[in-house]
Amino acid sequence: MGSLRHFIKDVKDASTPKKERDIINKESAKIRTRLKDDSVQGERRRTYTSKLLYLYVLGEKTSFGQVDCINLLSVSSSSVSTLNYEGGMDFENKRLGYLGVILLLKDENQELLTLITNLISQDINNSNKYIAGLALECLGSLANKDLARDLCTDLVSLITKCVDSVSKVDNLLTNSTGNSSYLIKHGLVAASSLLKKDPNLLTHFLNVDNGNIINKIFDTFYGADGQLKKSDVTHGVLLSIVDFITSCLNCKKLYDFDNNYDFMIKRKVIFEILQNEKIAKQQTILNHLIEFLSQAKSNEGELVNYCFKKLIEIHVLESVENSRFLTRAILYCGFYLKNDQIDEVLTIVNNLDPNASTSFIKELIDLLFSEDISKEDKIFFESNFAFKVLSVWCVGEYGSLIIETLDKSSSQTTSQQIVDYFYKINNDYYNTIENDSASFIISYLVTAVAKISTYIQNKALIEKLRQLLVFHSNKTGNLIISVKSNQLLSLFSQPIDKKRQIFAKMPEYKHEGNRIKDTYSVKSNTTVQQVDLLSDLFALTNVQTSKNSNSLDIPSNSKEIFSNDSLKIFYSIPDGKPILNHEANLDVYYKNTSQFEISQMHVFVAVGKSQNIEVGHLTNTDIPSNGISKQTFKIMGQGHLMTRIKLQYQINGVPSVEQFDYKFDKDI
Amino acid sequence: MLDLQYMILLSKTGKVRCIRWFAEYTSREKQVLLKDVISLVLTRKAKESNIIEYDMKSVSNTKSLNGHRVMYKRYASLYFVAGIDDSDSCNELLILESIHRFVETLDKYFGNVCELDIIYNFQKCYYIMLETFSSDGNLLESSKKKILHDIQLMDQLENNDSINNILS
Repeated sequence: MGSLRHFIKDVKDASTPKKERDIINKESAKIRTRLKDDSVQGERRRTYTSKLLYLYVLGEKTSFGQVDCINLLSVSSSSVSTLNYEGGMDFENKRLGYLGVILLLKDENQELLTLITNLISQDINNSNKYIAGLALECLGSLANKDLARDLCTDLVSLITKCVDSVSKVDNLLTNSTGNSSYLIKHGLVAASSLLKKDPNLLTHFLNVDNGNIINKIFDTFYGADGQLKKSDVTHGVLLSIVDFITSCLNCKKLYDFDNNYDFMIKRKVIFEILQNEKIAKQQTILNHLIEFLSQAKSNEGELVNYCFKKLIEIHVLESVENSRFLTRAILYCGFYLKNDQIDEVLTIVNNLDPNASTSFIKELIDLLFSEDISKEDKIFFESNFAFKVLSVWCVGEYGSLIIETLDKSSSQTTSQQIVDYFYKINNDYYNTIENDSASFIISYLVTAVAKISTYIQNKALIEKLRQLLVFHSNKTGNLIISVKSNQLLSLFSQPIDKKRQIFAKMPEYKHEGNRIKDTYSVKSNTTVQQVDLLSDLFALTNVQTSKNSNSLDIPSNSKEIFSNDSLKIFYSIPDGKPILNHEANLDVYYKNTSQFEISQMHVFVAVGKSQNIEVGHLTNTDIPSNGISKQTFKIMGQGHLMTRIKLQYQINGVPSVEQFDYKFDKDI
Repeated sequence: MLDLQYMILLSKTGKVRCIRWFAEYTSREKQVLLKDVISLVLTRKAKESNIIEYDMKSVSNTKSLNGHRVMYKRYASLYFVAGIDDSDSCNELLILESIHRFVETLDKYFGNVCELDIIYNFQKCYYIMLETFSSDGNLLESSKKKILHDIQLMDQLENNDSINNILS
């Protein structure tokens, strides 16, 4: 039997495909018998194995030779001492054997892999870095789940060892990584392959006992300034680091939360996931997280709390699409939240943009009053203090939205349900003196009672609500709550429109310190921030007031300057105040043409650069259907009379903004 | 980054000179794929693009390999063919560059490489491939110098072994 070269030449020079076939078949049969013969060793065995590999390149069947490749590896390891005297590495056999195994065993015959598990675990610790490298390469390309699990710890300790030795070399040679970079490179690549096979192995790489490998690598190769420490680090090492970290990140996405790994690791995973929340599959990750939260056991309170805190910190839940997750997160985490965290949640809800808050409230009400909630959800309700506080607060704040907008057809039932719900809460937390959480929730409850009463139509229900306040204003209860209830009671009998202003929704809360604005401050919430609109182009003023109006009429000489579905605006020049001396006084009338109430109207007016404007108070910021509100503009300066007007108002509780320019046909 | 599915060195006569599978395929898939790739690549004209869209669905319905592309580059009589993932993260130019690196390394190792070098020393070619591309089809080392240095050391070790064997 000839050499490999001979065989290749014969195949190459075959004149017809048939002849080629014959040569190959003949040689293949020969190789098969020879490899079975154990007396064939050393050089001759290697020749046969090489020919086997050539058969593989030609696309022939090579499965019969798989075991022989493995033998080549194991024979060499068992005969180390007898065959070789120096170092006993037997590199020739290893090199060819691993090449054979890598090529021939790929994707086939998974049972055979158990045979090489031991070999690999020995060889990756071989003193010769090239043998170790080959073994790592083999591990990377062949590993199935079992092999990955078996050898993962070996791999982790190898990488750790190498990284450590690089840091040690660090002290001696500032510019060299020694021999370890080759192993680190191959080790990390193998590690990424293993992680792809079984994401759960990530625990080994992030295990705290071993020290976090990623941190270690970074500390070893990069200085504090982010510069590479070693000048001889090739791109290969860096590539493998990047490759490894990418695999780790992918794993975290796939990470199986059901497995009972310890708290630190879960926490780390959650942290890493949320740090990378920009990655596309945010929704999937959130789904996973929520599912995890829903299944959290009581001993995982700390973790749940941590997770929730992180979710809040990164503001991922505050978009319209994610409001579903927010309700769920609160529902599942509520059990573990402390009072100040609950306050924080309320702040977040309060600061949601209108669209998000609408869908959030919708979700919440569905959960709260839906008949067919699942059993688990019900259990969550029973024990979920945070959720109760939140729901009470939301009903108060978003009363108009809930009763008048969300479900008009059944507003009567909703009102009934709300009142029942409040009574239930009230009964559950009656002891406001000794029980901290009771006083916490009841203080929210009384405010909510007052607020919601402005939107409920049914007289009997309003009376029931009033009774709640009366109950709490009782001197025997908690003093703070009783003071508060008394104040609210005194406001309770005010006319409805006035009450609505007083009990309007809280404005967006700007964080100043950690605590949410206390509910007491609700009563003084009618201040409005100055909005700096077009400040370099136009002088600007905004004015808003809460005075009640007497009924007004629009003078007959007025002109319409704006109209939309719900609002018409007119101006007139009042008698006795003609446009004179670069000064114009205008009366502006806002007429509500819709069938709903317009509330919280704010008017922002800007005039040309050469002019100044003083804007008077609106006679009333809430305009009932067909009502009118009046305002005076005093414009001073020179030039053509022009205004840009921006209106912010709520119609039927839904915020709305209008802006328009109007050019008067007059000069000043 | 590269996410190669396979790497095939193909002669212009359609003979495989060196082949490595990075992704997991069954033998049947490999067979069909190889046949398709050979006919696809060989029928390309010089002016056509180096990227061929390849629909895997006809071969396999088990895996999401449908969006898969074949990239090739011809050097003299040899085609270097790589199967690449059809994802956004895949950079075709980077793949061409990696192939070129590989060819340059071969060239340096054999000294003006020709097809015959690769035919007769296909193992060496594999060894260089092992050092250039990692087991999951990514670039393992981009430095030619480093690869050649490592390969030469390994060759030396191998030769020492032979001498030792003769001596003992």
